[in-house]
Amino acid sequence: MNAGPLVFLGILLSTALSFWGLVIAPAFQLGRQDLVETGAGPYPTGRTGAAQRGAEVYRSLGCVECHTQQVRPRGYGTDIARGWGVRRTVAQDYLRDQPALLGALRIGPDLSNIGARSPDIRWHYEHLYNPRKLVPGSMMPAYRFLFDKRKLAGTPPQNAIVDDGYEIVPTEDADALVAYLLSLQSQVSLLEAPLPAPATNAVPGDAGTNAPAGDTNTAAKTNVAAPTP
Amino acid sequence: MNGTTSTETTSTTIVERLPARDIDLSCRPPLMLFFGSGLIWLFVGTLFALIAAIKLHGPGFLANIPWLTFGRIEPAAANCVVYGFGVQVSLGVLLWMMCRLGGMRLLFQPALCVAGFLWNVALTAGIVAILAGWSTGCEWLEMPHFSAVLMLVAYALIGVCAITNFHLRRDRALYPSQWYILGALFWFAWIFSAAYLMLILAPVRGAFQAVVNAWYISNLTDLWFASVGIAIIYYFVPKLLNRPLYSRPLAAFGFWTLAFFAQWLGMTRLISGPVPAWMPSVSIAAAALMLVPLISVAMNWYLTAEGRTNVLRQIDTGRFIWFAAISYVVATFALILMGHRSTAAVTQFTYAEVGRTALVLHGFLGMALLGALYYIVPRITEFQWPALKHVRLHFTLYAVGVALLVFGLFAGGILQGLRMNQSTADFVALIKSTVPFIGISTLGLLLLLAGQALALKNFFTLSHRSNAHVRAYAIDFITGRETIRRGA
Repeated sequence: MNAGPLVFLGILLSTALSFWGLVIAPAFQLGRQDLVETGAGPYPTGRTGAAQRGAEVYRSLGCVECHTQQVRPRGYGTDIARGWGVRRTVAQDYLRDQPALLGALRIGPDLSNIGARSPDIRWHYEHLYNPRKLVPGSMMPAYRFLFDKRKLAGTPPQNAIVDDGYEIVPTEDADALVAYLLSLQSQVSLLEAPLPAPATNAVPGDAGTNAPAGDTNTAAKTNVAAPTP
Repeated sequence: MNGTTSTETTSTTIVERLPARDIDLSCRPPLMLFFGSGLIWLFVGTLFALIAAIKLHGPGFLANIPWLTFGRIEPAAANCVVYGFGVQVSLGVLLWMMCRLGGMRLLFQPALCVAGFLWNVALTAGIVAILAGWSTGCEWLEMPHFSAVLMLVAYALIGVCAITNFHLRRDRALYPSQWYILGALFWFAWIFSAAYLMLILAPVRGAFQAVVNAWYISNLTDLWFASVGIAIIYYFVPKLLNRPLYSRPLAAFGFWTLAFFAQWLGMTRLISGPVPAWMPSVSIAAAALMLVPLISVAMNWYLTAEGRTNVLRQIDTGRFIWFAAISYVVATFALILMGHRSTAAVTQFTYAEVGRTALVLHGFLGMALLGALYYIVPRITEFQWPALKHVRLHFTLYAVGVALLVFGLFAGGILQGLRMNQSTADFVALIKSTVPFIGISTLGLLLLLAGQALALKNFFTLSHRSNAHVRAYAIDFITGRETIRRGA
């Protein structure tokens, strides 16, 4: 192995093989995906303007450093038992995401379905402003810089939090971020990831907290609600 | 070639090799730039990582400054260490080894200096952009396109200079380190440009982005960093012990198996992820196969140093190299284990993954680079380290720091994973239970930072003296006075 060009050819070949196998071949498979028709229109549903801007806020703040957006399949980990989703996430769910923020570390809970688990818009504002008020002991930093704190004068805006003579008004970024969080749901039944058969028991009562949601085999909801505000 | 260390041999040369001193002095300008800025980035990166780690104890720490929010400071820290220190210092060490092994002077110093300058400017802009919230959101590729394109231009310039240097080498025989160097130079260009193109400049859609991202990160850690580190260990172990390499055919076997297996590892990150199932399966198989290059490389090192590892540990550089070799073996074992489906069910999405990256980045690559740097700088400047005991202290701090950092992350991560897989474990409580372990790794980072500060002081004192000397020399030369003798 004293001939530089030969060694170089081998190196080139090794990379070409890997690039072909792990990048080009998947491109044929994943790159051809398109929206699928479900009962409630083409899936994935597009995001509203505010939610789309919220995705940018989510990206900019680096939420992905602590939160994944992927639900592992039943029997592998306990994502579904925790109520983080009713089915595993599949490639179809991310088709409109740019960038696709799957995440690799869970210091906080998975957010694939936070919009369904925590549909209350006020909960999100209060949680972003002071996570520990709603989830005692939470390690999430408070995003106070997404809010304006002002002396209460007159009627506070509809989305403001009123706190001890102050109104805490979400900035445009906070509004967008919350709209994005509410848009995060992957619960449509897909061919490759069908929903479990609808069961009889009640829906999980503690959606929206970090607490485990018990057995969510029973929590199957069919199709997504209309795009959130 | 088997019978010599080949690093200093003249047996198969066509053109006479140059004396080592000439080679070393020719490397000075670009290498001092690469090393100096690399050490600064390492310090800054460790500082950022420390701030991020403190936030995992108390979420209130610096929480009201958007620039320092966890989601920004964490990727900024990673980018400082990976591109500022890891890639930059690697390039410096590769260039030097290439010149020494090729028995030739470093050519194109001005171009290399310009490229190094450009690299650092681009990186600074990129880090500021991440902190300002312009991150692209793709792991280890967070820097926006303006930085990335400039970095790619700088890299291309360095790569072309390096390959031309390689081509013009005087000693035509190739030593195993040179295979890895050649591979590393080419691989970075391919993976970095392909990943940036497909993720940021002309982004592919949806989950496919995660595939490209995983392919890139895994190639950077387990192929590129591995190649650089292995090249350094192959170079220094025989050299410091003054012994021949145990087996060249074994080295060749290890090289080709690494080249053909390590590039298939990426999808272990996406086990159970939203991708077709065959992809993680291929990577799981590749992870198991990594045992082959690991054993051949480790055996070769061990049999070269057999019976004399204590000698290696008494030399300053040798100690770093020895630690790096052990880290590589441990980190690759961890890779093989964590690449398995049943283990990944626990370690996936936990601090254990972060711990393995830290082990590769600091324990293996960082140690190898610092060992090489401590060896090279006195030779290219002809100045001894101002505080030799700080070199030793740096090793101790770095070694203990890495051990604490990695132990804390692994132990905390495994606990996190095990408790995550009990559906009854309250999520907040389980994250709280990892905090003591994060404390251990925070302490580790603190030691790393102290070590980095010592290295910075040592380096810049030396560089200052050497610059003053060069300046005096230049003035004497220009004014026609008799040239002064260089200090030892």
